Amino acid sequence: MRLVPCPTCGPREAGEFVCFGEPRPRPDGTRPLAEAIYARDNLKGPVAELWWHRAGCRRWLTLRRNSATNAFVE
Amino acid sequence: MSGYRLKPVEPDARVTVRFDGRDFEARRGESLAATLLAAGETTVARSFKYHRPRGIVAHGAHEPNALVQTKDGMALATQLDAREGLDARAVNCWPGPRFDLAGVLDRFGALLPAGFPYKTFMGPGGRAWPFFERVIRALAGLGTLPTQTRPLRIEKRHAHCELLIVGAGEAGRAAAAQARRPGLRTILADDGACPDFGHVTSLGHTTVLARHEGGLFLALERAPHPGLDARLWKIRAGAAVLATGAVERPLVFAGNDRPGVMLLSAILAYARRDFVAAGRRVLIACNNDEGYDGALALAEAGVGIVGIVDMRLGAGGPARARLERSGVPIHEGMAIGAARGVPVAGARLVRLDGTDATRDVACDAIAMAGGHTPLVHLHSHAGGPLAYAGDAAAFLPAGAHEGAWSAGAANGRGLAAAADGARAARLALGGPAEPEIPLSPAGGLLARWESPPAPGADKAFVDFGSDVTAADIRLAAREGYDGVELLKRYTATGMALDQGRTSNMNALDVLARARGLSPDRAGTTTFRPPFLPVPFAAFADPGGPLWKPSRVTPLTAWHETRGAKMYESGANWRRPGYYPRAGETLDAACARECAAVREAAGIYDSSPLGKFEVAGPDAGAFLDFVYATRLSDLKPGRGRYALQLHEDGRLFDDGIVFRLAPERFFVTTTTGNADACLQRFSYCRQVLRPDLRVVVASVTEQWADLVLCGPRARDVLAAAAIDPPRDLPFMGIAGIELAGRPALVARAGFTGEMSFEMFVPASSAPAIWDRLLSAGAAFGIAPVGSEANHVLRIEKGFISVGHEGDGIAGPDDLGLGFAVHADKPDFVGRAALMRDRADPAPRPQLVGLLARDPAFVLPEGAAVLRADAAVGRGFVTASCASGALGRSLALALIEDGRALIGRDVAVAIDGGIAGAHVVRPAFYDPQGARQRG
Repeated sequence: MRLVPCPTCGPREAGEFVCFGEPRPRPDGTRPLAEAIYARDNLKGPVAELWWHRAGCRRWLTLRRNSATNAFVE
Repeated sequence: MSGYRLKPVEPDARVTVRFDGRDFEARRGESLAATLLAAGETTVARSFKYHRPRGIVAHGAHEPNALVQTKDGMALATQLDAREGLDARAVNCWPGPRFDLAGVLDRFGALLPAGFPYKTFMGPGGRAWPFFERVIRALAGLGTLPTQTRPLRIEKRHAHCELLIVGAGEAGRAAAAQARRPGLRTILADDGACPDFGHVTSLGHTTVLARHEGGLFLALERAPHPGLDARLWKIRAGAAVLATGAVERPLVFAGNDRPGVMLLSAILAYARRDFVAAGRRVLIACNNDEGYDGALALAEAGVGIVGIVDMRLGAGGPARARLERSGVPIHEGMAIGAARGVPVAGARLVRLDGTDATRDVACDAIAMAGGHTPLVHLHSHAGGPLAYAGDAAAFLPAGAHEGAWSAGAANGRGLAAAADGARAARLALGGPAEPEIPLSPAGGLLARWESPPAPGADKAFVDFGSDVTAADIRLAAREGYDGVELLKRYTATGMALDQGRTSNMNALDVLARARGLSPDRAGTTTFRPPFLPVPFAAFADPGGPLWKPSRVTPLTAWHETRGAKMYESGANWRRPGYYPRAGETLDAACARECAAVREAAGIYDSSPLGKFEVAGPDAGAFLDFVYATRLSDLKPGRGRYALQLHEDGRLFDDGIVFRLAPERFFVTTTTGNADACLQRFSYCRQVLRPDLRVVVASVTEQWADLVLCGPRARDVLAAAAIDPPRDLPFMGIAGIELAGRPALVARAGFTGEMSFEMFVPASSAPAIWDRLLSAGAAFGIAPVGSEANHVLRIEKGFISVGHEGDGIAGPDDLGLGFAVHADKPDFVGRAALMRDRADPAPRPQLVGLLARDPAFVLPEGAAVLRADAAVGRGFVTASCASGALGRSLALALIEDGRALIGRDVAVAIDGGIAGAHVVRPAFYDPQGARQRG
């Protein structure tokens, strides 16, 4: 299982986390509602993702991951 | 009958093993393969597809042929240790490997080309495959599943280390010698025996199966101690040295699969390690200098050599002169055109210069030396890139990958293994950069493995395990299956026991030549874990209460000792379903418990309910944001039924939110969603609304929840000397002292009766539960389980998120619009809810159903049909037999259901249609007078 770099707890197994994926801006009327709720950019390359360290510090983290290599990046 | 022992078995090491019903003398601990070789049992197996007789080719884990059956399952003869009582049989043959009736298939090889099942049985209109598949599988199957087998005992163990060294050969041992540093944890694992270095943890008889991202390795240790069959290690390593070695590459010539044709390295290993000679007259075929070095080593061990067939001219190094002096014939510029005899009795040699001169040599074993294929599997498993090294004619790791450094033969540096292993360890431990050690391919390697194919000659195999010939590869390439991945799937090359370790490179070579490509352009297939077959038991859930622990309430033990039928409910909780009396059925117990609640009093352990404290100056604003219901105007001491929506406007969860103090709320959620609510609350607090000053704490386990309900509930409380405020209103909450500790009492419940929920500290719960039961005995109190609760809530038309909240229904659909305060400027799901409200499209709506036959309980999940056609327009969400109403009841979500109230619908049931009448979803006390009291 891969290790997730938690800034509070250090590297921990991914099973301790919930990967929430791309940040989801709330529907604010600037985009069609369905797109705002369901659409994801799903970009290749470095992406920012939300992780919840459920079985650790319970912090919501924004981590950057290269979706092409699956490696966390600074 | 060619093999023999170079040294007799010592009397104290002598054991008897059985193979195919015959006894053989063995040296304890040697492999069954060594025993069979020593006994001259050259033919030990039949091949997968053609049923050709096969012998042992390799040693250790890379054997492609010699799969045998034991009572515990199948194993390689090269990996079964000889011990008294070992009993193995050959597979895929009848009556035996030396004479197999199905061997006739070999004569019809021309009818079984690559992809023959597709071509023969699956063509346009072909319907024959299902029939022939059975016949073919019966003929081609390998072995049988043991019918009576003891469960394997395999434990799992986790380990952490700074350095993992895989392989205790020269490179691995040199790496281990570098790992001397105080506090450095090093693990050294090897397939076979593993030397003890003192400063490292040595895992012998341990195969590292897989390397995953993040430095996670899986390894299987065989028989760590008597009573344990294996141990699966999960090793998290900071860095690793992969010294996994290489496997010798066979040569491709007609009849290269005949029993007695082996890898030179295997013949050497059996001679040196087991003192077993594969034959008295060994012919060595090579394309590099190792043929000569190996011949000297074999001669030294006492094995007779009848000649060396070298594809090259004038090569052989210093060893050649010594061999020539001792009279060993060297056939240079030649290759084996065909092997003859079963077991092998000789070879016809052909010239490679195009002339058709041939030479016949008699022999009783043939050794193939085609260079080495580095075992780069672990490097590749986690995505390490490979590069083709032309000098070594092999794919090699393209540098270190994620802290894993390949070394020694696995890195193409077999002749400088110790230096390469030491270097890899220093680098893996963070040492300064060092120059690379030069590649050391087999001396003078000529990149040619296949002898010239001759028309009418016997088959020349590239994959023994899958029975794939060089001709099959060429045919596949002609037919367009000319990429490595396609080729693999079309011909099954590389898919057999050894996963292509002996075959992939030769298959690629034949393919590349057929396409006129260089081997690096042809590419290689992907290596995937595990490296070796692993018993399922190694990965399986070992079972037992510790594997997936259930959550227990403070009263679970009480329920169990009272004979309650316990259910696994949401979120792993074990809770009582019902409390049967002696001889009582589920239905009878459930009806009795329901009657107690409706007529006297019931008590329910609702402790698994999700509970949260939300506190802070902005707690009200926070809840207004998280819930669709307005909660900021709630008065202290009061509660309100509240809904959470998904951002898409559909129902997520419901529960009662109480305000304990101006800045302190007590929030209840459903049991099943308690964990999801924790995630959502913290997401809203940390990500969406970090501006709000609020804290959220889960207190589900801290507070037990005892629900007392029924018309005599007040009497029971009085008898138990529990005194909530006399004027506590419906949906009110008050703090009281219970058994000397603080508790909360709320007038809320899920049954529609006068109801008191007592939130008490978990450790106080058993005493208070007992107190209520003894006090209630005079009033006919009964403990009630979730079955009765289900009936009681259906009677009331209360929704259960797990049943009616199907992810599609919104609050309005469920008749819960009263709990939505859309005038709030913002809350999660508001935008989508407003869009739903503006959309005239029909929606599923919650209604009640009364089956035409009042004794018939509609099945939950049954489709509700339109009267005019067999088209589903909804489904039954919950259904029960109601004692209070004396008939069956159901709730259903039906498209535009409210418009159907007063009309009939059809419900699809097993074997037909049941009529039902649509009514408002409130059957019992619809005005709610009883619960308000």
